[in-house]
Amino acid sequence: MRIDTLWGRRALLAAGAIALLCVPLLHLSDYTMRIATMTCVYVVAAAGWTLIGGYANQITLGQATMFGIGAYVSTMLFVHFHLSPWIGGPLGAIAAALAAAAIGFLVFRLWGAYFALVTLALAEMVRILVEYAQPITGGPQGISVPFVRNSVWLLQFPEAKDYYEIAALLVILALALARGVQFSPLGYRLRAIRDDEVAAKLAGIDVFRTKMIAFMLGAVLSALAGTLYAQITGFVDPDSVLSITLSVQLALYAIIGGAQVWWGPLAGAALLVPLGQAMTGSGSAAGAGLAKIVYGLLLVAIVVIQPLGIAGFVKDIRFRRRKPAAPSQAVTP
Amino acid sequence: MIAVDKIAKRFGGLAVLGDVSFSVAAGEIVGLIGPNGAGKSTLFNILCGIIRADGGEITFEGRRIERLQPHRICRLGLTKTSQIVRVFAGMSVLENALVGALLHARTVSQARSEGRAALQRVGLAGSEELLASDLALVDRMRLELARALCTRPRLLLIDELMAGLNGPEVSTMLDLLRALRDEGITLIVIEHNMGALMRLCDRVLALDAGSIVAEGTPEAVSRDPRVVESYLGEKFARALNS
Amino acid sequence: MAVLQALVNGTLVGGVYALITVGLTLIFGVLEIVNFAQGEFLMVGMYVAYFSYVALHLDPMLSAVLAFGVLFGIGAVLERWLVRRVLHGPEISQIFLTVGISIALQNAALAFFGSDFHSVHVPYQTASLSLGPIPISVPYLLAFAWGAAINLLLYVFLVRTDFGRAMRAVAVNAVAATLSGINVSRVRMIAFAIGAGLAGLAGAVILPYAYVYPTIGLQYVVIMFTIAVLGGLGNVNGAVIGSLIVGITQALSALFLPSALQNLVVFALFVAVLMIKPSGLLGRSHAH
Repeated sequence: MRIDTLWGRRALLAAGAIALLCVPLLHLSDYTMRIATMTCVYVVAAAGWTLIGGYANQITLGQATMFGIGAYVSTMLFVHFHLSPWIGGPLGAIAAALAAAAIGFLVFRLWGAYFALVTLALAEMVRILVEYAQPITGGPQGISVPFVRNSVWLLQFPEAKDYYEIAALLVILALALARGVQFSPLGYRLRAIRDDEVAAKLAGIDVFRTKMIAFMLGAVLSALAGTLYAQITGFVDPDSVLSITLSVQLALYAIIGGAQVWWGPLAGAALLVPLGQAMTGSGSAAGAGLAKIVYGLLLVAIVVIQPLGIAGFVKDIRFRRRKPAAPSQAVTP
Repeated sequence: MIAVDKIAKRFGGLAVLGDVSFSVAAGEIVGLIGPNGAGKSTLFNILCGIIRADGGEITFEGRRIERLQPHRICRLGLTKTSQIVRVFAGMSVLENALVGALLHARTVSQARSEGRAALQRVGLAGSEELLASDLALVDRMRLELARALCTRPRLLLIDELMAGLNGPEVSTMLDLLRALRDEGITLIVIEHNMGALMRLCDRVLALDAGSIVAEGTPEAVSRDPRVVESYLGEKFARALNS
Repeated sequence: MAVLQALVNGTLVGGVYALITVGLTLIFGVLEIVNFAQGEFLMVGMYVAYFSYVALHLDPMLSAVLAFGVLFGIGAVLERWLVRRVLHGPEISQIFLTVGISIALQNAALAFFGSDFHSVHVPYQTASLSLGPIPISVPYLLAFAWGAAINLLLYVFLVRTDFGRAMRAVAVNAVAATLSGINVSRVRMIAFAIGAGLAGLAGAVILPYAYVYPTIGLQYVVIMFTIAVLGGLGNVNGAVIGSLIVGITQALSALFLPSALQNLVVFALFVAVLMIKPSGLLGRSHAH
C-alpha cells in the first residue's frame, strides 16, 4: 500500500517534469515563452534561498551575492578567456559555494535579525567591490556578454525562449535536489535546527556543519541561475544581479510559495514572476511600481496571515485531518 | 562511567558552581537534589556541553569531554532531557524521535522505525502523527525522553521528568527508567519528587549553592542535617522518619 | 589639516546619521523588531518636504515638523494593524513584514511620483561658514542642529516624562511593565509612531543637500543598520555614538581610499563588531 502511493507520487512528479519540458509544444507566443524562461531562472535562484532561509530558518538577505557570483564569474570568464558558460557556470557555482563557506563561517553564530543584517551588509560589500573593480567587472555600468553565434556549446541563442529547455531542466534538477534534501537526514536536521538549535545539538546534530552544507548547496543553485540569467539577458550589472532588491525578491518568491517545502519557490515564482513581467510589460515606471506594490502587499499579507506561505494552507489541512484526540497511553517498559 | 573533577562556573559575578566533583559508575542510577538555584541544571548543561565550565575536568568513559561541542558529546553517548521541555514544535511526534535516531541510523526509514519503537516505550504509541506542539506538557516530556533514547545514550541525564505525573504514571515511569538501567544505560536524575527518587536511586548527591553538601544512599542523604536544613525542611524529614 | 576637515565633516554627517537612526533604535528597543522600512519612512518624509516646498514654498527645516506628523500617523496605523500581529509570530514574519512594507512604499512612490530625482532650492544651499580655516556647510550644520535637538528632546522625553519612563520600562521588560499597569500595546504603538516620525523628520532635514527619489531609502538603510548595531540595537544613546563613529570613519577613509570604497570600511567595521560582540558595541545582552 505504501509502495503504491510512493510510486504514485513518483509518477506524478515525473509527469510534472515532463509537462514542464513539453511547454514549448504549446506554441505559445515568444513573449510568453520569455516569461516562462525567466520564471524558471527565478525558481532555481529562489530554491537556493529556500535551502538555507526556509529549511533552516537562517534568514539571509544576501542571496543575490550567490546569483551575482554565478552571473559575473561565467560572464567574465567568457569575456576575458572565451570560456564556455558550460564550464564557467560550474566554476561560478564553486566560487559561490566558497563564498557561502566564508560568509557562513562568519555569520552562523548570530541569531535572527543580526544574521539577516550581516548577510545584507556582506552582500553590499560584495557589490561595492564589484563596482570598484571596473577593469574586470565593468563596474557600475555592468558588462555585456558579446553575442558570438547561435550555439549550444556557447550557451547562446538569439531569443530568450530558446533557453527554455535548459532553464526547465535546471528547474527539475534544482527541485529534485530541494525535494531530496527535504526528505533526507539533512532535511530533518535542518528542520530540527529551525525549531530549536539547542535541542538539535542535544540530539547529536552538528548545527554548524548542517547549516553550512545547506548554505553551500543553496549558493550553487542560485549561482547556476545567475549564469543562465546572464546568458539570457546578455548583460550583467550590479543593480540587476547583486542588489538588495534581488535578495529580497528571491526570499519573497520562496516565502510566498512556502519557504519550508521544496515546491514553495516554484509556486511563488510561478505566481509572481509572470505577474511582475505582465505589469512591467507596459514599460512605464508606474507599471513596474504597481507590480512591486502588489509584491509588497502580498508579502505583508502572507507573513501576517500565513507565515508558511501558500504551502501553509495545504499543510494546515493535512495536520488538521491527522489530529485525532489521542490520549496519552501507559508506559510500556 | 563519568568522573567530574572540580567543575566551576560563574555567571557574571555570581558563582553558580564551585569546584563540584563526583563520579558515577556504569549501571548506577544517581539522584541529584537541591533547592532551586543550587546549580543542578547548570551542572547538566555543562556535562552536555551546552555551557562551558570556567574550570575543571570531565572524563566520560576515559575521554575528556569538557571542551567538546554538545553534538560530539551526544555522539559519544551522553545526552539529557531538559527541564524547560525542548521538543521540535513544528515537527510531528514521530519526526521528533526520528531526528534523534538519525545520529546512528543509516537511512530515514531506519530512523523512523527506531523512533517508532522509542515512542512505544515511553507510551506515545498512537500519537506519532500529531504535531509535537499539540501534545500535553507531560507527553512532551515523554517525547523528549524518547528522542534522547533514540540517540542511544550510555549516560542519560534526566531533568525533572516526574513533574505533573500522577501516582500510577510515576510508577510506570520508574519501571521504564529501571528497565533502561537494566539495558545498560546509566542515569543521573534531577527530581523534586523525593518519594520517587528514594524508590529509584542507588545513590543521591545533594547540591546546595553550587557545591555538593551530601552524598550517599537516598535514606542517608535524606537524614543529613545539611540537606534537611537547605532543602527538605524539618517537617518533611520528620514525616519520613516517623 | 585635511584630517581636521575630515573630523569636522565626519562629526556633522554623524550628527545627521544620529537623527536618521534614532527612530530605528527606538523601535527596536521597545518592540524588538528591526524595521526594514525605516529607509522608506525617510524617503516618504523627503517627499513630504519636497511637495511642501513645491506647493507651499515651505523650507524643509520647517516642513520637517509636518513630515514628522505624517510619518507619525503612518507609523501608528502600521503598528496598530500589522506590526502588532507579528510581534509574537515567527522570525520570518517579523523580518519580512517590514520588508514587505518597504517594497510597497518604495514602489508606491515609483508609481505615483516617477523615478525622477528631485531637489529643492533654498537660499543657504551652497552657503558655508568658516570655523577658522575650515569651511562648514550650512545645510549640514542645520541638519546637525536638528539632530542634536531631537536627540536631546528624546533623551528628556525618555528620562523625565511618565510616558517616556513607561516606554523604557516596556523596553526592559514588557511583562513586568504590564504587571505594573502600563498599557504596553499603546506604548509600543506610540514608540513605533515616534520612530517612524523621526525618520520622516530626518528625511525633510537632509533634503537641502540630497536628492529625493523612490529608492533613496536603500542608500541609507544599510548605514542605518550599521549605526544601530554599532551602538547596540535598542540603545538610543549608543546610536549617537555609533553615528559619530560611522560619520568620522567615512570622512577619514575618504582621505586614503577612493570614495567608491568609503562604505566598504563602514560595513567591514559593522561585521567585525558583530563578530567580536554579537550584541553590538554598546549593546545590552538579550536573553537568546
